[in-house]
Amino acid sequence: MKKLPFNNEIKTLRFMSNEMTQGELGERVGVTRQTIAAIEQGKYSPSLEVAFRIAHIFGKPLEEVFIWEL
Amino acid sequence: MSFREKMLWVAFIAMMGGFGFYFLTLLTPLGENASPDYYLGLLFLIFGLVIGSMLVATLILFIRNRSEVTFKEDERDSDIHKAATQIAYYPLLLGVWASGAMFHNGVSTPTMLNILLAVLVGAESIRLGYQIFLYRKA
Repeated sequence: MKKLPFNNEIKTLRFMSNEMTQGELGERVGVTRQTIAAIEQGKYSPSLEVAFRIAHIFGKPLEEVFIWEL
Repeated sequence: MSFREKMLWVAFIAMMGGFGFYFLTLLTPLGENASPDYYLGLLFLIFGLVIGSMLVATLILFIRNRSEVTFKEDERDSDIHKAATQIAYYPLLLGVWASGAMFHNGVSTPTMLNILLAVLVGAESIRLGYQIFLYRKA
């Protein structure tokens, strides 16, 4: 499987946000738990809208949630 | 496994089981010598069994996964759906053209209809199978 050119800090940020579950985050973003799991594991590249929604929920700028690695 | 993925498994298994049985029956000596009415009766029976089994399985999944039933298709579901539909389009297109060529070369109408049905079932199985593959992969 092709590796995405960016990493993410979603798991850490979830843990720091009162151990928010993938399901809770998914519900707030408007995607399924499975989609959050796939994004977290770097198996799915989210749309810009979903990326911004995730960053907004954690109160962080986009580049602190998704880190470009190339 | 999400509710959506379970539904895909149900549809895939019902389709492969039902139509697999139908096409295997046609290839047996009994099927080869049977009348068009026999084909038609068997086909209606298979359609009934496939739809019936899908309805029962859907009902069971609906009861067991009530919290997920109301979830709308999200962007990943939509991407997977589109990718699988695109993949299945090509065998469908090729199959229809190949069927047309066979019809032009004198294949009987019942055989032609069975070939078209096989093309349709094949394309749909590829669509369902590829969606399951993409869900499993990510």
